[in-house]
Amino acid sequence: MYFGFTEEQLAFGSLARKVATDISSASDSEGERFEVGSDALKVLGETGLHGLLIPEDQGGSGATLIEGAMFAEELGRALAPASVASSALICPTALPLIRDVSTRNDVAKAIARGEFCSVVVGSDLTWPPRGEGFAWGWQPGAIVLEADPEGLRPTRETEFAAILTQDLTLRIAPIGPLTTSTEHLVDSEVGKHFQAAVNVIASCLLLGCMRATLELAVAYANEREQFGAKIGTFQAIKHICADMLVDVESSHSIAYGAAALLTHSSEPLTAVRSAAIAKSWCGDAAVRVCESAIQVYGGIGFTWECPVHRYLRSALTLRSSFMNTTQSMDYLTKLDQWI
Amino acid sequence: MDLNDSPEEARFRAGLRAWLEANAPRGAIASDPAEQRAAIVAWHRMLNEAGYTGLSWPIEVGGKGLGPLEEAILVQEVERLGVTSGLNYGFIARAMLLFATQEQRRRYLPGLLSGSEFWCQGFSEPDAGSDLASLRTRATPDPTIGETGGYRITGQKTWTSGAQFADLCLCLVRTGEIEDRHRGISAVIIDMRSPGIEIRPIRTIRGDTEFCEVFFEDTPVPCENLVGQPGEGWNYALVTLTYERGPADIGFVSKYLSMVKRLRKEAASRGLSEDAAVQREISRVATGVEVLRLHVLRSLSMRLKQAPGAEGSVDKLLMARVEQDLLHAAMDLFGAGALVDDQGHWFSDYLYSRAATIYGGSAQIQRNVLAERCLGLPR
Repeated sequence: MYFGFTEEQLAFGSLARKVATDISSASDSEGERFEVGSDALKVLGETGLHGLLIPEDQGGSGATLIEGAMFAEELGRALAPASVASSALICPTALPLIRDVSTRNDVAKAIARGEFCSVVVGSDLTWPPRGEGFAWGWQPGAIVLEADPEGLRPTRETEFAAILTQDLTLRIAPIGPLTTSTEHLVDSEVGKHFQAAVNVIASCLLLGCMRATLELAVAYANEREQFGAKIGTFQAIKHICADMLVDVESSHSIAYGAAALLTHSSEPLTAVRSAAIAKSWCGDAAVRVCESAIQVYGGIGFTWECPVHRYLRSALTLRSSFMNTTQSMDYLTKLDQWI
Repeated sequence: MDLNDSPEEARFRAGLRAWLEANAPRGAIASDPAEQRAAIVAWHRMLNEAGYTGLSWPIEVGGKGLGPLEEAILVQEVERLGVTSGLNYGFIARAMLLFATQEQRRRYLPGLLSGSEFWCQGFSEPDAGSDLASLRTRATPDPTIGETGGYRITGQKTWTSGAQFADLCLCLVRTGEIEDRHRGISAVIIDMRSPGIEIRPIRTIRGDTEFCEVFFEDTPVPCENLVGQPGEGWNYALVTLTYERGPADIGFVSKYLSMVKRLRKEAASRGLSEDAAVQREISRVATGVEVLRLHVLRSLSMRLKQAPGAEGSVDKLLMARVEQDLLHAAMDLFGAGALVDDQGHWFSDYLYSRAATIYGGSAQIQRNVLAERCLGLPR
């Protein structure tokens, strides 16, 4: 047993951080980052990270979900457009739900080439979708994976009137009422695995949000002076920051622990359970961490200019996306798996 | 990153599991403290004879030369059967391994391992709790003690777990001046049968007497019982407190897991398990235990690369959060049932959980440690 990164993984982590930061700054349009701009597309294309989770024989790099989780953390930290996580991380893990093998391979190759891809969720952002369908993390030109009675089916409509969410990195596209029931999308083995993989990826996006927010709060506490001293000298501030660290480090442990279990474990139920736990824990922790950071900043934390609200917006939408906290609890109860 | 057992770890686990299934004591744990203690000691000695103590100690002092993960596997497997663990000795040993002389290791470590000698730890004092460096128990040099001289110890220790059963006490004493703070502190081993020692058990909010006040009055201690150099006691204390975390935390995880199972069972027997809100609440507290389990595995894994440091305070705070959350849930779910007809002993466990944010360094101190030493906030 070893619960740490290998040398190769650490090197990959630094690359992922650089790529995520570059994509983010190249996509920034007055602080809004719904869309990956052409400059950022170039960055992504050069590094091949779009095909990170696509098998090598389909033009990708065939990495494991652990590297996927590391890339997600960096995307979350950099507040990168959600369409990147959607295309490079979430959709590749959804591909086994496309029944027809040649269609599946075509989508895989398209993603590895750098095309964008988006999967359908419900109007409450959760998976499996119910009622109206929305393409999560959509951007113009993206392939949309829609639900059909067989599983998932790629479509290529581009005429969506996309909806902006409160998350400044996430856009969803309405694709109309669902014409099929979707329970079969989660009952099968591949369905369970996709749900767990999305939980891990979302958990790591949330983890990145938290790490960035904690760093901001600590930097501010080290700089801002009141009563003739840096506010970081006061225990009232120290204890808020320490509790944030507990949230961040515990989230790291459960998110990567679930990623490792899903990658290597011989007990799939334990892995699926840990992934659902990761999603609920990281979702609640991230919102708490962002709220705490606003408190540390004081009045500045309530301004649009202070970056913390951007993380809070992402944390809240990610917490609600795919499997929200209440759904995680019900899922765990139904799983009836207590190690 | 792979959380599965390596082939060696799997072999170790399989051998241990087979031995435990054949040898572990079954049946209810005695409620009488003296009987309980006797049972723990007997069980510890069985573990020792079978070679399951001192797993991560060096071979030359009677250990097995294995790592922290084997220690964790031992705790997991012992708890899996719902058996009590043996005596907790690891934290005293770790600092002894770093600071004690060859003679001291030869004299004390075998008894610690076999459970033939019991230890207690004399750190806190009435006026030195969180501010441990202000401790006042005085060690005055006295050349007439032993063959090469020694010290006379005078002062009071408190919260000393198991002092009433202890043969030996690892005690922090002041050899320098009060103004020297942590630089004037030394660590000594005190024979608890020495003259001038009075032990008064303290009754806790649960009504039991887990720990004691210990009074020393001119208690003689020979020079050779000094651990490390005079003035090095503070380093000793830091190492001990750091290593109080770790493998032992895995034991807490197992304890909490069995509490969650007990919670579900009792909710069912009280007719609450069809209630969706109750089910969610039980699932919610169970998530905390899984997070703690993976976090502790990660911390132990990190010890393969580097000695534990200030980040252990995350483990401590997380553990306390999980425990208090779990017992809050139990008290909420069972309402007056936990106060009137407490078959599940929830009230006693609930009261005990209040100590989780106090013992081994209070939550406030842990937060200061994290803020200053991990996050780099100014002192």
